[in-house]
Amino acid sequence: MKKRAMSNPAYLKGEIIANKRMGFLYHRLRIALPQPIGPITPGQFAMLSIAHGGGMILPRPFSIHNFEQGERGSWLDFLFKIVGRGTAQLANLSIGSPIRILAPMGKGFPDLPSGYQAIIIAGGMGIAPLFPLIVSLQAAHASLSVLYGAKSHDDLVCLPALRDVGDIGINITTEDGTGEGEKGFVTQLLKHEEEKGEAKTAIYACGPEPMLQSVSDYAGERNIRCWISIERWMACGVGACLSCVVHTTAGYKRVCCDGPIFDATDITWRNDVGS
Amino acid sequence: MSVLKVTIGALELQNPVMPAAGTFGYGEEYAPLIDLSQLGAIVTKGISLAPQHGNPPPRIWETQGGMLNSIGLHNVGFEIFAQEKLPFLRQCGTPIIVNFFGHTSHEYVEVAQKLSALEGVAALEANLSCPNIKKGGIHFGSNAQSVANITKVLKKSTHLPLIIKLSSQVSNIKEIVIAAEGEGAHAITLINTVPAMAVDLDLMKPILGGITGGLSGPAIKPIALKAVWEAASTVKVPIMGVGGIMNYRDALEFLVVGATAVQVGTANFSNPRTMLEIIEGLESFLNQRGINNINEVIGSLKQ
Repeated sequence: MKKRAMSNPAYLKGEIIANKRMGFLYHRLRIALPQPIGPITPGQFAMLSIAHGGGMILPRPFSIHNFEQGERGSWLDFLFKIVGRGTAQLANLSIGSPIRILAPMGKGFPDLPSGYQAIIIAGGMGIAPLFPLIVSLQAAHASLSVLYGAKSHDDLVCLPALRDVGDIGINITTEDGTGEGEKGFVTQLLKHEEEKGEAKTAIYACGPEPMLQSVSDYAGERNIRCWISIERWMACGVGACLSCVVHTTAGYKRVCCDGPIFDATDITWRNDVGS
Repeated sequence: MSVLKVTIGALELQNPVMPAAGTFGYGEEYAPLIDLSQLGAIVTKGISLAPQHGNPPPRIWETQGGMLNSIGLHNVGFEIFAQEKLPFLRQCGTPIIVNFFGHTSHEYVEVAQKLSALEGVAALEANLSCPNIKKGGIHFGSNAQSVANITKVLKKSTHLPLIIKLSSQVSNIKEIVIAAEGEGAHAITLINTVPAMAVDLDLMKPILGGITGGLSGPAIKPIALKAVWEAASTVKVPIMGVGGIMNYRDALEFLVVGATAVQVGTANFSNPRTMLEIIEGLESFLNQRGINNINEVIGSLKQ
C-alpha cells in the first residue's frame, strides 16, 4: 500500500464498460478511464456524475471497490446498492455510456503497522472500500481475517469475489440467519477473532454508523488501532463546500478530504453540535 | 480576452465569471482541477471575526432541480484566513473578493476593517443574506433601513470596493438596492440561496441538521433573473448575478437582464470546469455574433 498522502484528483470522462446486476438491489459498475490516475490507495473514493442529463445536479461519492491501471487500460469498479435517485440512475446506465468522474479522492486506509494482524470488518455495503484493502493485504502476505456481515444472505454480494482473493479467513454473519455463519451482527465476531491471534491487532472497518461506533468502542476500550471509513452526503468532494463534516475531537472535519478514513479514536459520534 | 473585460467599481476583471461565495472554499481546494488565473475573480468563503463551526450535519440535500444547504457559514475565521488562506489566493493571478459577515453591525465593521488592512484583497463582499445563521445574515438585508445603516458604516470602514450581497426574499427589492447604492455600495450581488427545507418521511424529521437551509441551483434561476433585472433597472451600480447558472447561456441571460458579472455556485459541484466552460462559451458566442465587447450585451434586454 502507498503512503497516506493527500489525493490529487483528476476530472475525466470515463465510459461504462460493465454494469453488472448483483442480486436484487446491487450493481457493480466498471468505468474505463481515458488515462491512468492515481496513485490509488484502498479507501479512497470517486465522485460520479452522469454526463448527459438525468436531472441529477450533484455528483455522488462512491468508494473505489477495485481498480487496475496498466498497459491493458485503466478502470475503476464501484459496488453500490440502489438507495435513491442517484443510484437508481447509475444502475440504469448502459455499456458505452459516458460518465464524468473525479478521482481519486480523499485519504485511504493507512498501512498495516509492521508485525500486526489485520481484522477487516464490513457491514453490508461497507465491504466496498474494504475489498481492495483485502486484496492489497493478501498480496503483501499480511496476517488477515475478514468479518463480513449483512442483513441477509442475499446482501452478501461480495462473497464470491472475496473467496477468489485467495486463502483468507472469512467469517460471516447475517441478521436474519439466512447466511452460512452466525445469526446476528458482525460485531459479535470481533472479540473472538481479536483474542485468538497472538500478534497485535489493527482493525479496519466500514459499515453503518451504529456498527462503526460499536467497533470503535470495542477498539477504544482495548487500545486497539482502528481505522474506519465514514460516509456522508457531499457536493464538491474536494473540501470546498463543507457539506460532509463529521464531528471529531478536533471539531468538525471534512469527510471528503480529511477522511473518509479516520482513526476511530478521533470520532466523537456526536452530530448534534452546531454553532 | 479583452472582449470579455468588465468593470465592477474600481475593479477591472478580465472576464465576468467568478465563483459564488461558499462554493469554492478558499480557492486552493480547486487548484488541482482548474487554472484559477483564468477566472474573472475569486470570491472566498464568507469570513467572520472568529472561526465558525457551522451547523450540524446533514448539511446538504439534492432536490428537484436544485440543492439545499445548511452549512451555517462554517469558516476558519479572520486570523487563519489572513495567515493560511490569503497567501495562496494572493498568487492566483486573479482579483480576490473576500466575502464576509458578522453577527452584529459592530462585527461586520471590525471584519471589514481587518480585511481592508490585508495585502492582496481586491474587494469586499458583505453577506447580508445568509439564511443559515440564527443571528446576522439575512436579518441585515431584510429591509431598506437596515441595509442603508450597515452599508453606511461599512463604507466608512474600508477603502476597498464594497459589494453588498442581498437576498431575493424581501418585500421590495427596489427600495433595498436604492438604499445600498445611496450609502455608497460600489456593487450589489443578487441573490443568495432561497430559504427552504426538506422532510424525511421515514423518520418524520427535517432532512437537514439545521432544519432549514438555502435552495440553490437551476430551480432558483428564474427568481434570481427577476431580482437582477429589477435591481439593474433601478440602480446604476453594477450588479453581480448569481443563482442557478449552469452554463454560458444561463450566464448570458443574467448579463442580458443587466448583470455586469456572474457568480457560479452549485454548478462548480456538478462540474468543476463549469466556470472555464462559461468563459469559453461567452467568448465564442460574442465571436459568432460579431460583438467585440461584452458590455454591449449587458442590459440589452428588449421590452
